[in-house]
Amino acid sequence: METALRIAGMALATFFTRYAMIALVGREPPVLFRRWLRYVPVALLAALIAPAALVSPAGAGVHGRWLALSVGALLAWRTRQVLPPLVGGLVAFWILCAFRI
Amino acid sequence: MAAEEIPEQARRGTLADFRRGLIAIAPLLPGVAIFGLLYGVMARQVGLSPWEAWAMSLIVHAGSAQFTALGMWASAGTWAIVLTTLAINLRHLLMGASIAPYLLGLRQRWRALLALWMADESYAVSIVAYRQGTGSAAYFLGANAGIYLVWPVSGLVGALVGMTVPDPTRYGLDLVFPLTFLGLLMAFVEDRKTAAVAMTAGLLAMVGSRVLAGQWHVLIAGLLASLGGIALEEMERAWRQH
Repeated sequence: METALRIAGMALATFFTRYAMIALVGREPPVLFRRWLRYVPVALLAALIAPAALVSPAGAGVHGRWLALSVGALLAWRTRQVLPPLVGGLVAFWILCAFRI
Repeated sequence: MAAEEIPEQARRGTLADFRRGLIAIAPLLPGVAIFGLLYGVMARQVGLSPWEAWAMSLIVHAGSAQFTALGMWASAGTWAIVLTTLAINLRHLLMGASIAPYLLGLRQRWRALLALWMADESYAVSIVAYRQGTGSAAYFLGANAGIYLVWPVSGLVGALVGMTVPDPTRYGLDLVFPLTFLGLLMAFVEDRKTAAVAMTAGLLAMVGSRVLAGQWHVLIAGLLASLGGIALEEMERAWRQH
C-alpha cells in the first residue's frame, strides 16, 4: 500500500511539472517571453550534460570522463549528429580507461 | 530558427510525421534501454518487486526521478520522495514553457497526453524539429511513444533478470546519457549568444551540482543562463546603437 501511494504521488508530481506550463500558456506569449524561450533548450541541455564530467568512479582514471565528454563535444560540434559523439566518446573513454588516464 | 517562426496554429502532422518522430528518437533508445535495465536491477536491490518497478516506470515515466527515489527508498518517507520527485522534475516546467507555444490550438486532452509522455529525450528531438520547422504534434507523439515503448519494458527486464552490474560508471555506461545529449545540444548552438548561454549553463550546473542537493542545479543553471541570453541580446543592441 505504501509503495502504491509513493508511486502515485511521484506520478502526480511528474505530471504536474510537465503539464503546468503547457496548460497555462495562452494564445499569444509576450515577445520578451518568446525571446527568453529561444535560450531555454540550449541552457537546459547544457545544464543536464555538464555535471557528468565531474563524476569520478573508482577504478577508472581521473581524467577519462571529462576527456571522453570533450571528445564527444568536439564530434557533436563538427558532425551535428547524435551517434558520432556517442560512439566516439565511449570508445575514447574505454581507451583512456585501459591506460588508466 | 528565430522565435518568430512559431506558427499561428499548432501543426497536427500526419502518420508520416509520427514515423519521423519515431525514427528521430531511435538512436537514443539503446541508451534508454541501458538505463532501464540498470533501474530495474536497482529497484530489486531496494526491495521493490519486478511488477512494482514496472508499474513505476509505466505511470511515473521519469528516469532521473525514479533513480533518485530508489536511492532514498529505504531511508525516506512518502512525502520526502514525492517532494524530491517534484524538485527533480521542475526542469520540465521550463521544457513545457518552451514547447507550449507550438501546441496552442491542440485539444486540451492531446496537450495533456503529450505532456504526460514528455521525456528529456523526446522533448529534445521534438524541440529541435519544431525550431527547424519540421515539428508537429504527431512527430512529438512519435518521439514520446518511442521512449514509452522502451523504458518500462527494459525496467521490467532488468528487475526480472536481477543481475548486478558491479559499477556502471566503471564502464562509462552512465556516459551514454550526456554523450547522446551533446549531439542534441549542438543543434541549438547557432551563434555566439547561444554558445555563450550553453557554456554558462554548463559551468553553473557543474558548480551547482557540487553545492546544491538533488537536481536543483539543472533548473537554476537553465534559468540563469537562458536569462543571460536576453541580457546578451540587450548588450548587443546597446552596442550597435552606440
